[in-house]
Parts: sequence; structure tokens; C-alpha cells
Amino acid sequence: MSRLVLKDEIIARLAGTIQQISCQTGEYVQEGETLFVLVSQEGETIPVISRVSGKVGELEVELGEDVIAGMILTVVYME
Amino acid sequence: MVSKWFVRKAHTLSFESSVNELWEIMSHWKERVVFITDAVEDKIVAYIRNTDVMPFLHDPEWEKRQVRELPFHTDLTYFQREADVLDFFKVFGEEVVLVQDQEGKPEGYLQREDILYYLLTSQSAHTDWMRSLLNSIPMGILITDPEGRIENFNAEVVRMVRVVPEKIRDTRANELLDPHIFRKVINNGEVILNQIIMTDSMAVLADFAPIRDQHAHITGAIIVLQDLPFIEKMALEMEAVKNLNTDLQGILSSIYDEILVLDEKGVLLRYSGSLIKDFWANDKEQLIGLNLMELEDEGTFFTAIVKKVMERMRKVSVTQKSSSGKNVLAVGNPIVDESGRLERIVIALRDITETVMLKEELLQAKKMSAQYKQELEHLRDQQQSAKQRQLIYASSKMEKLMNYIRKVAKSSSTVLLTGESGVGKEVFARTIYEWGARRSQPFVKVNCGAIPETLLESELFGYEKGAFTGASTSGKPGYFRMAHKGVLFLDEIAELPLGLQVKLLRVLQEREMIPLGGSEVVEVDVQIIAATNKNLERMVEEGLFREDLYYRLTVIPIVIPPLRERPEDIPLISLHFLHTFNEKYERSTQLSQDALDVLEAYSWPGNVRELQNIIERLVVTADEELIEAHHISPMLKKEKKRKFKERLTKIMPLKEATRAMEEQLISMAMDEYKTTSLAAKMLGVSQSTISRKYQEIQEKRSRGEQVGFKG
Repeated sequence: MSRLVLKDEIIARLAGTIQQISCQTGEYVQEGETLFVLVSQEGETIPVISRVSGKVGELEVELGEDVIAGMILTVVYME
Repeated sequence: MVSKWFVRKAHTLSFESSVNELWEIMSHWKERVVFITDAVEDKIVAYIRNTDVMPFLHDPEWEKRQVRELPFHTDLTYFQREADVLDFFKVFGEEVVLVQDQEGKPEGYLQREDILYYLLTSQSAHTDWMRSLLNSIPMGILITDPEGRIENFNAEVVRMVRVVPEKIRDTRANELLDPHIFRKVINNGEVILNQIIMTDSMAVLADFAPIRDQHAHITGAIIVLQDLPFIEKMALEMEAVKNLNTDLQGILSSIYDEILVLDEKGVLLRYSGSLIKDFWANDKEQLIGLNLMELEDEGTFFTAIVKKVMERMRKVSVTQKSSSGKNVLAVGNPIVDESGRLERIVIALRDITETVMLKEELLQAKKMSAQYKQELEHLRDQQQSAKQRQLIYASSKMEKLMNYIRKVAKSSSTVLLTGESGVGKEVFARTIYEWGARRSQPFVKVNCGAIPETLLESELFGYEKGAFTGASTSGKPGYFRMAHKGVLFLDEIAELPLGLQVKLLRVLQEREMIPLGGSEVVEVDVQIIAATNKNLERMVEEGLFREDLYYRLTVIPIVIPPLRERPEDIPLISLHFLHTFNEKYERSTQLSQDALDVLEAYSWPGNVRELQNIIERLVVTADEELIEAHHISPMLKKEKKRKFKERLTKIMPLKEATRAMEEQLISMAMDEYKTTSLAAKMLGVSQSTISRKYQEIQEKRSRGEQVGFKG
């Protein structure tokens, strides 16, 4: 029987620019790990953290790309 | 030259005229076409057909509407009054042709059938090729007199009505087609279009129009036939496409809550399903034709998605909470043509409120389960460690240390435990906690070396609720908040990255911290007990550990002595572990005095942990109940043997050489077998001999004299 895999979307809370990408597709990440660093339009540096442990899905953004509020940056497939 | 009687009167209205006025002209004059003039330029600029008006007659408000609101046609064709047959050919097929005088002023207009009739009846040099032309078009054309006698026809008629050409002239059109309709045309001058006529031999779509002379008397009829099977096929194809479209709409509505189709500029072309109303201020009928990019000021997220799709030319997924609290997932996808140019943008929306809620609950349940598991493990651990936590000692060195710890435990000061690996630093930390005033509060252990550097910060300081994901999950309290009012044991403190050392220093100094993603300061009341087996002082000198943190941690430094410095504790600790493992593995093994001697004599580089492991291994693997020294020796790490090199490089007195050899042999045997009884056994002498001789050797050593051969 296949196991239920829950995916958790990693979302940019604010509009801004992707300053750092700290994960790769297929990589296993831990809960609380910083996956992206976002610089908001006000210049605030915001870490985007995974709230679950699991495997990183396809990355939807690139370094230096502008993102909008609510945009899904990637997903983490929980075990 | 177009004769005057041939030209129809062009009725005109302005764009501002009402639809009512328009319809009155059409009804009163039986006009199929009315022209629209531009008020400024005073010229005809467009025309409207009666079929354009008809759909609007169902609208109760239609009378009030303006002509401007109707679909009108600006594709006007002009024609000079002086035109000849060739000019008629040029405009052949046009629906409406305006006739102008020499000065370009409109005199009237012609309809398609007027041109057709002129061409068919014109007796000129062009008649033959005109007939060829008429024969080549895929429509049947019949000219009749008022009695229905067929005067002229083209080749298509023969094919469509399935009558041989010779018989057609003897046939009456009213009998061949529909006598009732034909009568209406001849008697009333009506133009009757789109009549389906089906008999056993034919199926056609027919248009009937009267032919008038210069006195406007009806002199016959012109009938245009179209092949019905062909039209039917087209209609069926259109119906199939329509059905497919309906199916597609149904499927899309079932799959997603809402699908929007936009053009390349962001104009809404169509949508499927029912709209998620929270996002739209307008009625859905008014949305078609709306450019979503214009909604930017209203702050709707559609504008942002459209912009992003246009910019990235790839999929964009966004989640948004609606005004009524619905969670909506919107996925925008570009559709490009073969050259990669953006053609359409499709936005699919789904209400994921329930999914989000379920996920939140599941995550919460998982977290609770993990927390309970942790608590259970903690309780088990406490139970287990309560058994193993007993600090067993007999040495005066440990007695002194425990008296010191008893005093230290009364305060909440920061303690730094140092000592070699395996001396039991956690047991000492727990003892301080157990003996202290915080024993009813949590004891939280963090192994700074076991947590990845990327996670350590969030593990220690936690993060705020929904701070990074936008979702309403609970945050993470972090070890500091978990240990509030209690003790936080930071094992392997030397492994703490320099960046986090600053944060830890702040907590130690200010007794407050800011969780990740948070903005508010959280007060924490925690006693820190740190531990390391590294030389922190040296690390400070090498710049690997912050000096200020080092001093902050060494308020109360406690150095735990290695086992080799308190050998009198070894038999007691060994017997304690023997008892524990006998219980665990249901054995009843014993240690002989020789075995205990071997254990005591060993230097134990791995300290209590190594001793514990050796005893466990002995209990598990022992074949007999009594564990002897020879069972233990192979398990102990071979220490570096003292090197005794033969120094017999010159002649020396025999007695002196014998004594040196004897000293060397006894030293080697004692290094290997640890006890005098075993060494005596191996050297084949009595234990008392060895005991006496080994004591002499030790005394020599203490005096600094050479043992064995002189170098």
C-alpha cells in the first residue's frame, strides 16, 4: 500500500527579491531549516523557513527573481 | 450606366437615433438595410441589417437603445452611376453597394440580387463570360417570370434540383420549389430568405426576391439556391464544436472552481464555472472584456499573477486569503503560439480552505504526537537515568567534588562542566538540577554538536507562528522557551557556531531573546549548564570561541576528573554496572579479584563510558559465570608499551646484566598482565617474588634511577 505523502507549500509572505536559495530539488530538509532568503521591498531580510521535514520539490523561482506576496516558491514532501 | 429605376432609396439615420426609429423605417419600407450617417462629416459611414436588429427585440429596453449600441458594418462599397457591365462584375458578391453621382454624393444603393439580376439580364458582349462566371459559383441562380416560368438558370441549379436542362425550361419554379412562398414574393414583393426546401430529389436552402421594372412593377423573381447537405454538414460540424465546448465547460467546472481565460494583454475573454465571488466587485456579466491589469489599484491578486505570468512566461502559483477567509490557490499558465509569443493566459482557481484546514490539523496532530513521544522518551530517560544517574564513588577526590556540587546546586548560576569524553558530564548536570531549586521545572538537553548548523538557531530560539509560511500553523517555541524556569543543558558547547555564540551571549546577559521571524522580545528564565571536553581557553586563543561568552559560561567551572585519576572508584563502578547488566540480560555473572585488579590497573581513556561498555560486553559474552582477568585483557586497548631496548653493546659484569634483564622482564609482565599474580604465573615464579621485586623496581623509578639496561 502506498504511503500518503503530504506536501507543504513554501510561500513568500511578502513581495520581494530572492536573495538566497539554500535548498535543492530532491534534498531532504529539516523542520525549521531556512530554504530561501527574501529581501522585501522595504529592504527587510526575511528567511523563508520550512515548517516540516521532508524532500524538496521543484524550485519555482531563481536567484534574484522578484516574487509576489503569496507566491509558492517550492513544496516540501513530508514523509 | 445604372438606370434610375434600378437604384434603391438609401434610408439614413444617425448613430444617436433610437433603435425604435430604425425599426420603424425597416418595418414601414420593408427595408432590409438602413444606412448611418456621420453627423460631423455628413456622409454615410455604415449600415445595419434587419437581422442585426432582431436579437435585440427581446430586450425590454431595446427601444431606448441607440443605433450606436447595435452591431453595424463599415465595409461599404461605392459604385459610380456611370458604371458599365465590367464595374458590375467588380462588385459582384457584395451585400450592399452605394451608388454615387459624379460629385460623389449618394443617390441610393443596390443589393446583391440587384447586381445579379443586372448581370443575368444584360445583353452585352460580356454576356457569355458572365454566364461562365455564374456557372462557376457554388450556388444555384434562377430567374423566373411572374408565373414561375424559368427564364434563366446556371449549371448549379441543374445539379441541385436534379432535373435535366431540357426539362427545366418546361418546369415552373413555384412547382419545383414552394408555390406558397413564390406567391408571396410575386404578390407582395416580399424578400424571403433562408427557406429550407426538401423533396424526394433535392434539399436546398433558398432565398427569394422580386424583380421590378422601372415602374416598380414586379416582373418576376430571382431565386438563389444553396446545397442543403453541404450547409447541413457545416451546421452539424458547428453543432459538434458547440457540444464539445459545452462538454469542456462542464468538465472544467467540475475540475476547478473557476477558470479564467485572458488574452495576451490580460483582457478576460471567458470563464468557466461559478466565480469565487469574494474576489470580484462586479457582476460576472460585466467582467468579460475587462482588462485585469486595470484592477491594480484595487489590490486584487489577479493583476499580480497576470503580470508575473507575462514577465516569466511560465507557471505561477499563488495562494491568497479572500475577504471571507477562504484560502484560494491560483495557478496562472501562459499559452504560447508556435513562435513562442504569448497568446492566452489561463488562470485556474481552487478553493483550498478545507485542504488547508485539514493539513493544519494533521500537522498539529503530528507535532502533538512528536511532542508526546518526546515527553514519553524524556520520562523513560528520566527513569532510566535515575537508575544510572547514581554517582558512585569512593575516592576522596570525588568526595570533595560532590561537596562542591552540593553547594553550587543551591544557586541558579551558569555552570561549565569540563572533562574528558565519557566522564559522565550529563550525569553531573542532572545531579546539579536534581539537587537544585529548579528540580520541579523542565530539564532540557541540547547537544550542540548533533544539530545541523542551519537548524540550531531555530531549535534554540524557536520561530514565530506563521511567520514565514503565511499559514496559521503554530510556531516552534525553541529549547530556551521550553526550559523556561528550569535548566537548559548545552552539551558540546564548543561546537556552537560563532554567529550563534553572540545570540547565546545576549540571552545570558539580558535574559531575553527574539525568536526567528519575530519582532517582540521574549523574557527567559533559564539556568544554563554547559559542558565540553574541549579546551575552551585554547579555543578562545585561537579565535574559535568568543572570549566574552567563555567568561559568561565559566561563572562556576567544574572539572570532572578522568577515571584513571580515581582508580579506587573503578571496582565500585564496575560492580554497579555488573549488577545493572545482569538484571538487564538476566545473567548472574561475577568478577574475580584478578578481573577487578585488571580493570583497576587500566588507564580507561574512554572513562566511565568505556568501562560501562566493557562490562556490558563481558556480561553478554561470558560463557562462565565467573569473569576472570584473562577474559578482560583482550578487550582492553593495548597501551603503548614501554620500549626496552637491549643496550648490551659492551662487556659488563654478569650479575649486573642478569639484574637488568630481570627488571626488564618483570616490568614487561606487569605492563601486560597488570597483576602480580598473573605476572608471576607467566614468569614461572611465586607471586611474593614478583611482588617484592616489582616494589623494588617502582622504588628505583621513584628515585629516578634507570630500570633495565642503561642507555
